Amino acid sequence: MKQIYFFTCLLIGFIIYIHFQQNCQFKTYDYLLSIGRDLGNRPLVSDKFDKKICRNWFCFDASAVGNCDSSVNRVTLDKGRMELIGKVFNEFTILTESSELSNDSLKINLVILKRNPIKLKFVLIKSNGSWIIDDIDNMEMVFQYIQFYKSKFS
Amino acid sequence: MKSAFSLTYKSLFIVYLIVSLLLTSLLLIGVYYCQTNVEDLELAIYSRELGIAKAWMRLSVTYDGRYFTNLMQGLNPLVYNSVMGYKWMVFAGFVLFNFAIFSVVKACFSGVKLFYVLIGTLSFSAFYFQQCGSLAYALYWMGSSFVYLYPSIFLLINIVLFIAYVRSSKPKLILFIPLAFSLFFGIGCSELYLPFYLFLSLFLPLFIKKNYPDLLVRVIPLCLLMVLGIWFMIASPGLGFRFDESQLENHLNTAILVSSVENYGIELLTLINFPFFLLIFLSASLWKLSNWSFGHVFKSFNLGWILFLFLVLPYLMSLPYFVTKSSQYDYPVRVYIPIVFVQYVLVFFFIIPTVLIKYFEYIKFKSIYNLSCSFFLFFFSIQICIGKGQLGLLFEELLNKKMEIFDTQLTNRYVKLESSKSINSEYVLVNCDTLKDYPRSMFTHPDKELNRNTTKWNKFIEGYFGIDEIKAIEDTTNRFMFFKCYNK
Repeated sequence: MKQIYFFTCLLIGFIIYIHFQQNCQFKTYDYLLSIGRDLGNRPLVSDKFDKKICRNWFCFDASAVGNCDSSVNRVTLDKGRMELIGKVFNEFTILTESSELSNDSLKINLVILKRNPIKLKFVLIKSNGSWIIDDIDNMEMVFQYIQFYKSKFS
Repeated sequence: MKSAFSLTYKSLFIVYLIVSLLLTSLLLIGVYYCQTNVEDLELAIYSRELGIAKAWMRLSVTYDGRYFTNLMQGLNPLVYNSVMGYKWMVFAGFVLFNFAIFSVVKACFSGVKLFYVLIGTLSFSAFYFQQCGSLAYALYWMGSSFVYLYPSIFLLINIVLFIAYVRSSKPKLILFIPLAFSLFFGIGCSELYLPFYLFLSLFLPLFIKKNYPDLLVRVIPLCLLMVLGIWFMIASPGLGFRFDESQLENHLNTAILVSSVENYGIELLTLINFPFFLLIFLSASLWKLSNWSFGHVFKSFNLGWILFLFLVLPYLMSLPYFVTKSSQYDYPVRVYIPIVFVQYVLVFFFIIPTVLIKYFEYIKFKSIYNLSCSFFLFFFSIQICIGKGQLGLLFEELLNKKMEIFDTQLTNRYVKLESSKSINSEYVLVNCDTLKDYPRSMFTHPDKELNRNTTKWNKFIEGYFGIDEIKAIEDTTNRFMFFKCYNK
């Protein structure tokens, strides 16, 4: 009987450990309010052109990174929030507007911003230290942006 | 007179065997013709690209708390680039399901000859699939079967392992480990089973303490694991996304509760049908043939308990769906798949034996029994022949060659897509037919879309096969190709 209880404790410990791992990940994803939500809640895994780049960009709720003005389809970036996201995503380059990370800037040169429920979507491209903001009408366009900026900057 | 009765009784079992064998063959033909849908491909890409562990974690964190289902999304042939291996996965699910039923019938109706156990197994399986609501969701769609078929398999395995565990003279770790995993995995398949396991984790120790206090120490770790499994699923961060769209009070209001009761009423009315009556007769027959050894256990249940288990517990199982889908008021076929299953299991293995033991211990099987059974078997067969119920629909779609056409069309599509992987071209474009019609008994959307209307499903086919674009001849736009080539 001792063995059974010991095994139960081991299993409980392991599951609690996994749960904390999940929560740790969740803190990360909490900022990613819609990872590829347009692709059905899945990460963006696209065709062969985009394979290399696909893990380096995500969809963000615009409010997670800046202040949205839906009337003009603009996002004013909040540096503090951007840095916070960058810290959580330690596997990615910290998102800042400064040029201090210019060597790595290509890693994260594109962010899709999405604001629910208005369904406004923005593409945010970092290029030479400045951010270009566009709104897009569908996900196909996103791929075009990726293609375009990849060929231009890589 | 007695021998005449006995002869009819035996011949009835032969008829049961013939009918169930025919229906099992029909279900297996369905397995041969079934095909993957795009959502399976999507989830396979996910695991293939990120790895099983990372994909599992991401689904748990962003989508739902079904930890075993999410694990299975990474452990199937599609992840290893075998589209044709899909059918083997569905076949494995079907075989496992029947094997699990066989094990429980053998364990519960001890002393019954193997021949009758086999009949009981195949008949139970056929009757259940006839009434499950949707064969596509319950069996032929792999991704869905992880949610609606596998928890049923685990439930049956749990019963067998639990009987072996509590019956062994000493508590054995070798019996406990598989039971612990089976319980934990079973809970992690679908949130619909949470109320069932929650009830079990509370009721079981109380029942054991009252009737078999010596066994309590053995059962407590199992209850702890059940509670842990439930907590692990509920506490999963991904579950929160299901509540995102509105406030909690929107999920718990009178309209939703009324809707859940109404839908449950429809389910109960649908359940009362020929296969269900046959199930009752089959259970009584097997009970009669067996040296039933659970009499002392079942005698402690009164009519109130029986009604609670048959009516209230299955209803509670539907609540996780209604609470999370506050805007859904249509009859949710999928939700009632596990509920029908639990009702079948309760009736077959528990309620009928209990009622017989408690109230009809000295019942004599009269000719009326044979007559009723023959009557129900006859009408059940007629039902299938005229296309009623899930097996009827399957039979109808087999006869009108819908299944064959569908299978050929999708096989050709996947062969074409597979071969296009080796094409060395600037832009790999594959033209494929769009499904205009498909067998409802075994397939459900999503599939490739015309003109990429919503854009996402085509993308997953392209992602899975690594091509640039999948198109249909009927498409009226080339904008996707245009944009892509232009930007090159």
